[in-house]
Amino acid sequence: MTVPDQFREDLLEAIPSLRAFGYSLCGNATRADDLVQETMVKAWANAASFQPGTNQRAWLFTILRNEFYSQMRKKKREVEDPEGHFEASLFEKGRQESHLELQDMKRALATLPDDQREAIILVGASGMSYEEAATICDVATGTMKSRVSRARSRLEELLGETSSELSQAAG
Amino acid sequence: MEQVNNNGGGMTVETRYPTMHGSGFRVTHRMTSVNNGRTYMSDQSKKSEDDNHRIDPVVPEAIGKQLKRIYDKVADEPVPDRFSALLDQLAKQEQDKK
Repeated sequence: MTVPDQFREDLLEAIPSLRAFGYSLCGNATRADDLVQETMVKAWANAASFQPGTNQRAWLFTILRNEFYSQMRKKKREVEDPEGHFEASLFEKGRQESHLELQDMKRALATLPDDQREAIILVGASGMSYEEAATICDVATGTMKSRVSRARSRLEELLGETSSELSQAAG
Repeated sequence: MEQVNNNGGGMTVETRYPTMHGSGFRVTHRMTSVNNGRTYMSDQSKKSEDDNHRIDPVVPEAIGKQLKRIYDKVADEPVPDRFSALLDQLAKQEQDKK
């Protein structure tokens, strides 16, 4: 089958948000771009299974997300990391220009359980609706809502703690 | 309103609310440290009600803003050449197959 031009155009157009989603998920710019590359190759190979007119961005996000978790599982097996140090390294090397405040958020994000992290990124940052986010993560919309709610509470807790530590250190 | 003077560094932390009880000091710092403190504060006080069974998935502005800044920083970057090159390559491979 020939990959339609429209598919290709939309894929190109989705790259910025795929990169942003990948970066928000894994906290590492290089890894994020590798995820995007893998996503593009997979999307191209599976172009036939995409129904034109449906939500291509959500479809691509789903591929990237699945790729992210499959790489994470593989990596965990390879480096024998039962304690999850791999995850703890998420966002450790934040981009230098980031403000301290964002560093706190990145660190807080990295400590969230995977399902809560992806939920709050999808709904809170990428602009996906609850329904779209639920489809991407293959759960019911209600489940997505409760994940976002828990992620939000957890982030508030974590950021509250960090802020007060910072003020105490400063004071 | 009270002021806390920093040792040496000359930084001053101003608190906008009187300390009402033991934990007040800390809470006050929390509020002044997070931008958009008002949203943050009201969500914080509401949280205990939501904790268990009620689902209130609205992402508060203070958190949403920071998440978006992390996300948009990358989303606003120009697409690196490697990706358009990859698309060309994928298209070419497809043509070669025929």
